Amino acid sequence: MSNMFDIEVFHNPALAPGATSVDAVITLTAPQDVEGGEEPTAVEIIMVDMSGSMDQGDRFPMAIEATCAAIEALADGTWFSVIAGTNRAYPVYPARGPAAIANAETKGEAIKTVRTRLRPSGGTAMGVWIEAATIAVRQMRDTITGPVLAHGILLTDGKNEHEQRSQLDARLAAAEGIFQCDCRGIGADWEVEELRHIASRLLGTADIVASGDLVGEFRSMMGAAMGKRMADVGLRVWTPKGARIVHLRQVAPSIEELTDRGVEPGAPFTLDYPTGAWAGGESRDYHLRVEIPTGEVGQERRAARIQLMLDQKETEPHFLQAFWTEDTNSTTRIVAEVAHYTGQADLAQAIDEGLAARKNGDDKTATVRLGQAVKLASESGNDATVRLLQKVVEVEDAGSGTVRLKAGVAEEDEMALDVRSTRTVRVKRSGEPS
Amino acid sequence: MDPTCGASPDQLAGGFCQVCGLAQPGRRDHIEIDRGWVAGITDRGVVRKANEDAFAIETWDEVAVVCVCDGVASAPGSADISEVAAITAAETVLEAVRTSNWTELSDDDRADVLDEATERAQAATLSAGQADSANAPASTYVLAVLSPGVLDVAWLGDSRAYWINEFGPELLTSDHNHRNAVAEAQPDLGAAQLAELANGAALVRYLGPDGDGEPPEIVHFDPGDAPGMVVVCSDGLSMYDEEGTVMADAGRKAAASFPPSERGLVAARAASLVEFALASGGGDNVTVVIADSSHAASESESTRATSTGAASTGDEAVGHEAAGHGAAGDEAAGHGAAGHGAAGDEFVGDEASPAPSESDASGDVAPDAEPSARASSARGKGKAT
Repeated sequence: MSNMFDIEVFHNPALAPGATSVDAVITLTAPQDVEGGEEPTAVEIIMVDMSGSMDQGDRFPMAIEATCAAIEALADGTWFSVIAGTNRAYPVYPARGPAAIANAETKGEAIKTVRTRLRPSGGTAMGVWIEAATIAVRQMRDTITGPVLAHGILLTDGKNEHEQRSQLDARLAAAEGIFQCDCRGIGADWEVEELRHIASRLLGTADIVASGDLVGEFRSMMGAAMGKRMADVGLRVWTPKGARIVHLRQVAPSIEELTDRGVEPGAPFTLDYPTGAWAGGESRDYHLRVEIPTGEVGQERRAARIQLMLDQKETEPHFLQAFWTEDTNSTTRIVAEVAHYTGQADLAQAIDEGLAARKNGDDKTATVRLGQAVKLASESGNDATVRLLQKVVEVEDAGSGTVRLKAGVAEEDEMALDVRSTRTVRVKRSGEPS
Repeated sequence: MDPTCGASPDQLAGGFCQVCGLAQPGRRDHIEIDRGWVAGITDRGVVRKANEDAFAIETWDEVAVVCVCDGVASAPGSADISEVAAITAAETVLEAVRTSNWTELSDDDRADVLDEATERAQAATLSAGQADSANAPASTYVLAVLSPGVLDVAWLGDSRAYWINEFGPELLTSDHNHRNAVAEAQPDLGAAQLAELANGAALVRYLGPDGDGEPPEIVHFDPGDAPGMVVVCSDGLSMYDEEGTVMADAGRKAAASFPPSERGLVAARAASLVEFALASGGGDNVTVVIADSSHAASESESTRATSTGAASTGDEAVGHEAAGHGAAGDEAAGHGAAGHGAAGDEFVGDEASPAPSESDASGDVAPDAEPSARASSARGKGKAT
C-alpha cells in the first residue's frame, strides 16, 4: 500500500493544577509492504561459541546443526560470515574476506566447512567475537551501496571469562549502530545479566535455549532477521525548553530501556533514540514519561513532538499535548495503555528483585516479590510469565499473590524466568473484540 | 503574534511555541490544512470571540476522510469536544480504510465503520466534557468519506455536506434541528409558520455528554462518473449559502485565477468560501473542508511519493497556522490529544446574522424532539430503513 509507519499515541492530556508529569504510550507499526526505494542488502554474522566447555553433552553437535540450519535459512543474496568464538575469534566461512554472498554453492560450502572444521577448545571473550563481526560488517557496509540490514546471532554456553567488563563495553560501543545482535545461551553456565546486556546494547533479544531446541531456534531467529525490511529506524523526540525525558522505553513485545540511548542530532531540545530494524507490519509499543514546566489552568502546552527518522528523513510529527484544568473527572482519567505497561514494568522488576533475593538467601523478600509478580502477571494476562513463575514458586492464590518458594528448582528454569522477565503482553485496546 | 516565552515569532507552529511548547492565545482562530486534493480551513469569523469549530482530514490513497464539528458556543467546553470528536472520528475511519479494501465493502459494512467512528467520537466527548452539567458541552458532527464511486456521509446536527459537480450543488444532509423535526411531525405546516418557530435552529441531535448516543444518520451517495467535490461545512458558511450556489461558483472562480496564492487549487477554493462567509458578515465560526475527486487519482500518487515513510496520521491535525505548504503535520494537534481551547464567555446571540444559528436559541437544544431519518438511502440502526 504505502511506505507509511502508523503512529498512535495514548495519553491523558488533562493535568491537575501544578502537575508536570505526562505519560504516553506510543504504538509504532511498520507498513506491511515497502514500495519503491532501494531494497536493503541483508548482512548476517553467525557467532558460535567454540570454547572448551562446548564439549559437554550434546552441546557441540547441536551447535553445529543449529549453525547449519541458520546458513540453510539465509536468503539468497545475503552477505554472510560464520565466526567461531573462544577467547579469540576465528573466521570459519569465508576463510578470507569479510563475507560471502549466499547462494546454493556458498551455502553448501559454508555448511561443509562448519561440519568439518570446528572443534571446541579455549576460553570465552564475547566482546572479541563482536569486535571481529563489527570489523567485517564495517567492511561490508563500505562495499555495499544503499541501505544495509546487518544482524548477528551469538550463541554461548558460558560466562565471559577472558575479558573485563570495561573491554566488553568498549567493544559493544564500537558495534552499536553497525549491527543488531540476538544472543542465545545454552546450558546453565552462562550469565543472564551479561547476555541481556550484550543483546540490549545491540538492540537484540536474549534467551535461553535447550540444546534440543537449538536448531529450531536458530531457524526462527534467522527467519525473523530475513523478514526485516527497514534498517536503522530512529525515534526522534522533541520536548519543550525546561522539560526532561524521565524515561523512554520499549514496552512491547518486551521491555527495553532506551532512556540513556538518546543522541542529540543537533536540532534544539531534540533527541534521537535507536529502534533498529523493522519487519513489514511489525508493531511495538513505547512508554514515554516527560516532566514539563507547569502551566496556568486553561493553558495548553506541547509536551513532546514525536517523529520517526527513516533514511535520515523526519516523518510527519505527532504531538503530545497537555493542558491544565481543575476538572478532576478529566485529570484523574486513567489511560489503559499507560496503566498496563506501568504494570508490566513493575512485573519485570518484581521478578528481578525476587530472584535476586532468592539467590541471596532472603526467602522472605523473594516470597513477597515473586508473589507480587504472580499477581501482576495473572492480572495482566501474561500467561507465559505465569507459567515460568510456576516453575519457581508454588502458587496458592494468584489473586492475592500468595506463593511458596519451591525447593529444588532447576537452574535453567530460574534462568528462563530471569531472562524472559522483560517479555510483556500487549494491552487490550478499547473497542477490540475480546 | 509573538510567543509568550520570548522566542521569535518564526518559532511558532500551529499556534504552539516551538521552544516552550505553550499554546499561544487564539491558536484555533484560523487553521488551515492543505493535503492537495483535500483541504480545509476553519476561521473564528468576525463576530465570535473564539472558534469552537474543528475539523480533521485523513487521506489514504484515493480515499478522503473528513470530519467537521461545530461546538455549541454557549455551552462551556464545546471547543474541546469538537476538536477531540473530529480527530477521533477521522482516525477511526482511517484505521478501517487502511486495513480493508474500502471500495469493495458493502454499504452496510461501511455504515458500520461510520457508526463505530461516531460511537468513539461520542465516547471521546465524555472524557473531554462534564456529563452532569446542566449546560453540557455539545457539538455538531459531519463525517464524510469520499472514495472512488461512493461518498458516505454520517451526521448529527446542522453542519452540512454538499456534493458539487458540473450539474450543480446537491445538499446531502438535512439539519437535525427543531424546525425540521416539527416539519416532519406536522407536514401541514407551511414554510412561513416553520420560519416563525421559536428555537427553530436549536439542535435536536448532537455529540456530547448528554447527546442521544444513537447511531448517526447515514447517506450513501453515488457521485456518478462526472468529477466533483464534496464540501463539508459548518453553518458559518451554509447560513449564507443554503443552496450551495456560491460553493459551486467557488470552484470555477478559483480555477480561473489559479494559482491564486501559495495554496493549492482545492485549498484556494476553501479559502474563497471562507472569505465569502466573512464578507457576508462572519456571524459564526466558519469551517469549510473540500475533497475533490477529480484530483484524487493524480494527487494520491504524489502524496504517497512525498510522504514516504510518513506517519499516516501525523497530519490529521487540527492546527495549521500557515496556508499552502504541504507539511501540514508540522502544525498537527496531538494525536489522541484533547486540545484545550480558550473556552469561556462566548458571544451569544448575534442579531446581525441573517440566518439563525444554534446560539440564538440561547444554546438550548429542543427537548423531546425525535431524531429523524429522512434521506431515502439513509440508514440507522434501530430505525426503519
